[in-house]
Amino acid sequence: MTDKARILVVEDEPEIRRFLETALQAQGYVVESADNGALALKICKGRPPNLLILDLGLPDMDGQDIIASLRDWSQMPVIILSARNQEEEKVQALEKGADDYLTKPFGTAELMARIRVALRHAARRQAAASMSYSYKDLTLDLERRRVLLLGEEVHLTPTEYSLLAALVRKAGQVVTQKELLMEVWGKNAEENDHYLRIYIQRLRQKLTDDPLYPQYIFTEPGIGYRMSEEKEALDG
Amino acid sequence: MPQVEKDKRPDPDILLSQIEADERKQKRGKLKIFFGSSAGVGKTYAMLQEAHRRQREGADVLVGIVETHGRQETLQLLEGLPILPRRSLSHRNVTMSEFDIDEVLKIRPDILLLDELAHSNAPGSRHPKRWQDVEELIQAGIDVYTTLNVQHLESLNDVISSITGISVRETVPDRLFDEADNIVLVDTPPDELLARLRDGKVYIAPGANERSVQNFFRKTNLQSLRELALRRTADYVDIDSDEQRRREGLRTPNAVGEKIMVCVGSDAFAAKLVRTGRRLATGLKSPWLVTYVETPVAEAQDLRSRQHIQHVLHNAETNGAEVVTLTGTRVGDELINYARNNGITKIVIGKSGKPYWASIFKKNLAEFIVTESGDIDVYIVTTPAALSVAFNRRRVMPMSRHEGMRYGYAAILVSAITFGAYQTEFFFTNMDTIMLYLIGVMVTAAGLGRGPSLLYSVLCVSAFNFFFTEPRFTFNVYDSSYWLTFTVMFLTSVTISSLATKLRDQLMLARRREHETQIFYNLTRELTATRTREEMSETVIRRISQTIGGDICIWYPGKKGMLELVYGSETGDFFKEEVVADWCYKNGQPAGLGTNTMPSACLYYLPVTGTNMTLGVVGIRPKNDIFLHGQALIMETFVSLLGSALERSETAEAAEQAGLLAEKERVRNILLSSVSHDLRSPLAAITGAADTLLQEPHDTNSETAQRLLRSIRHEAARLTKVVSNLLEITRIEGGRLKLNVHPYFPPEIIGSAAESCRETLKNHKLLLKSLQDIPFVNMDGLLISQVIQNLLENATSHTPPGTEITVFADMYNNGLRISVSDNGPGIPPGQEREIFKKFATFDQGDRPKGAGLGLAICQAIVSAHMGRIYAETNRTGGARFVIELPSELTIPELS
Repeated sequence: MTDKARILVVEDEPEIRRFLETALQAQGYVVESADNGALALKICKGRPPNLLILDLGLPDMDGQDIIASLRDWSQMPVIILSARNQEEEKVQALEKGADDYLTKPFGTAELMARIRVALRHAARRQAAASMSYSYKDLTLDLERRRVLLLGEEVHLTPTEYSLLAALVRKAGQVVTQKELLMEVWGKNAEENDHYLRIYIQRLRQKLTDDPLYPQYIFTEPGIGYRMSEEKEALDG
Repeated sequence: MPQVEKDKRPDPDILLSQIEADERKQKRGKLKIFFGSSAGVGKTYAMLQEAHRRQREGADVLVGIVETHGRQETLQLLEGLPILPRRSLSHRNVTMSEFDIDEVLKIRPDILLLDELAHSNAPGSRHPKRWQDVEELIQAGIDVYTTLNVQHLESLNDVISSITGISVRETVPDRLFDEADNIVLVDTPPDELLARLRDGKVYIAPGANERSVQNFFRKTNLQSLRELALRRTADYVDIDSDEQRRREGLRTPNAVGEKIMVCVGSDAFAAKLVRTGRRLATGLKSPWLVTYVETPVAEAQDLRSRQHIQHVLHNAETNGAEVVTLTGTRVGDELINYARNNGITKIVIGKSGKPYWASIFKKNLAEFIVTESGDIDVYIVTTPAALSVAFNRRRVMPMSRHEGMRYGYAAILVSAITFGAYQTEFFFTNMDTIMLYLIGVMVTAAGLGRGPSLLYSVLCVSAFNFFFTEPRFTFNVYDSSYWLTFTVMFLTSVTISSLATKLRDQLMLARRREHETQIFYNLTRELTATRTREEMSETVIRRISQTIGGDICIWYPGKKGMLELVYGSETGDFFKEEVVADWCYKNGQPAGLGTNTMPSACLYYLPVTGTNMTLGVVGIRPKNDIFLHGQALIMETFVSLLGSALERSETAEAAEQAGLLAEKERVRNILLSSVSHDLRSPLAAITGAADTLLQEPHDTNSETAQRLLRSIRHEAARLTKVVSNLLEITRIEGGRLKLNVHPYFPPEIIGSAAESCRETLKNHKLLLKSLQDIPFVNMDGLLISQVIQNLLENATSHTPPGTEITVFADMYNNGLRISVSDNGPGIPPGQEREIFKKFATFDQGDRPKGAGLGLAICQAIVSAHMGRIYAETNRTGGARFVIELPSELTIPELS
């Protein structure tokens, strides 16, 4: 684990806050916590943490507003905590700039994986964006726009390619349908989410990714898609 | 102690009826009649003076109608009294101003003055007669002051027309007079009245025949009228004091249990019989009833007599009689039976002015009654022959073609038998010929009716005489023994024909009764099968139009209690008669055509009544604007059947509501017990495990500690599932389940669902399969994914670890089918449907149970997709859950 990353936990439930603090400290993170939105924003402005874990239901502010105001001046990774059946709320937060989400209740392993991915992406943003992706049999060369499966080149249409690239750029993190649609088809395509599902299916076919047992592209029902994390990252 | 005289103690029944009558009267307004012997005695004047007196006392007096006839003294008295504006009515281009009853009901004065009780209202008014307006006003609780001349009293109508020679058309039922709360006799001696007449102080209608006026205002006439008025008032006082005596428990004179029955027919004489009966009943202070026997012959009568008898019966009813209509072929028997069974003590019957010979063959009805009456007194009222004949002559109808043909057939039959017998005379004796003729009689009597068979009898005797007796071809007879033959032949044929006719009549009657019973039975049966008000109305309308026909409409109260036209046959314009329907609804009484309320309406309106309220109104315009025989009764029965059916449906609805509430209550109870169990047991396990860990500090890596920690983790997961299921079902039941339907690729949904429950499934073998070329399907991907997750979790919680779970997606009738099956122990037989019910959990030993909500949620989601979900046992004996989404959702072109 690189330096001790500082994580701010914003959660009004003392029990969950305590559990998060304990779990994160056990993994070697430096943990700060806030039980309301105002305090959280104050801490973020004073000494920005490396990552923010944010519960959407706070007593004083709407979690959505915290993300929005934070994104005005900071790119720090944000992971939101939300309950099941609140997909719309999650999608909204992701669109406002949150990096990932966790559905309560969640396991420690899941939490750590999300934190790791988020921190890695943030680190990459600060350096130069990675120009390649590799996981299992799939290799993607973003510079040369080449996709290799078991070393063989896979021929993708421009649309398929840009869809795959959009997913790969945030590998390990969820990408909302809207985000994908806007990036691949442009602003006007926001409503046509069935295009997306059709192209995902074609992409899976070309990558021999069985939708029943996906290896590369995972569906997050009601939210979007998640490209599997790179192998090296998992190893690290 | 003084002995209480038993006889003088008031009878409780009488007291009770007295109290009821008093209560009725209290709610009702009071009627005060200023009664006089003729015009000009000063009734209006007296009424106005009284009104002023009451006004001074503080009563709210309103002048409805007062005819001043331009007299100064009366005009002066009107000053200071508020006068109701008249309503103008136009009828056939003539505009008339009339009394506005609706306005009075709106204003609701304490006392209303309404001159001339006997006045007939202009056509188009609500009631044809003013006394009917008065009755409605009293019913509505308004006191009414009115004036009345003695010649307008119904029961004295005959007497007065015979005294004065002037017949009065406008009459008021005596009931109104007798039930009035106050009668004020305004008496002026004839001399004084004549003096006033000479001074021009008595109003004479303009254009009245001067001679008849002079005839009327003769001193002798005036004296007789005055005497009648005084006597009638005395009668009233008598009745009034009787009531008082009854109240005090004193015997009233003449209070023996007399009951009078007036038997009427459809002739012009009926009205007189009714009047006689009424006078008798008033004199004896006894109840009376008017009976009319409907015979099959009556059925064939023309509209005129039918209308006439309806009018007479109605009139009797308004005069306080109980009207009874009997049905049968033998009028006399029916009457006597009814009288015997109903404790009648006196029968009033008319003796028709038929010629003497007519009663030779058929016993006169009056005579029959006299013979059979036993200890019942019979009063025979003689019909003026002229009247009877005149009426009968009018009733003779031109013989219909059909009727004529039947006589023709009778004649043809005689000719045929005569010709046949004549041709074969060689083989037959005269006796055989007679037999042949008699066979013909039976045929005629059975098939052609009374008239034709009488003709046949005459013809066959004549033909036999002419063709078969010596000397032939003359009507003379040598052998005088043939006269006996002729007589026997004639009598036999008449007897046979009358017997056969009677039989036929009875058969007809029986058939009609059976037909009616059948109609009612059918309707009842059909109504039982209906549930909604609309269905019931439709059924009744269909039946009415089949049996009666004509225009029909049905009104029901809508929101705010206003009547709304729910059904109207296409040909009618029903809205213009909304007022009539509304009146009928509010008063719960029939109105419109043929009734006393707004009779100028085109339709007859009947209230649909339930046990204690009016549920609606049915209006009908019968063909030719008159109900044929028995139709009114059928109609009434239909409507009352509709009423009880409506009431039944309302009761059923209430019961259903109660049932729903009970069901909700049941579910809530199950929820409470189930939730408390499902929440408490994992909490207990967690608490217990945590306590153990705290009390005996273990190394977290020790086997015990790990087991306890795993148990906490597992129970927490279980708790999570219970809570999220509860939230989900609440969301679905709260009606917030909104489908977000888009094309989805089924394998993707299955894959993501399996991914979501990877943790739960780690101890089971999961196999996912899909048809190769499965199309995109419209669905709410998120919800269907949840259904699959629930089914997978259900499978893991009901099967032992290591069990194989297979999810398979394929096509079924062009629709999508996803099945989740396992090779575990399967579903207990007979439980395949039960398990989809909320909180259904079946006993499976000590294996953890869900809150029994998972499958209910699945069912709700699949149902919202118009699909179905079911469970069955598969070939391995394990459970198989199948989701089928309809083919309409499949979109093949996208794949």
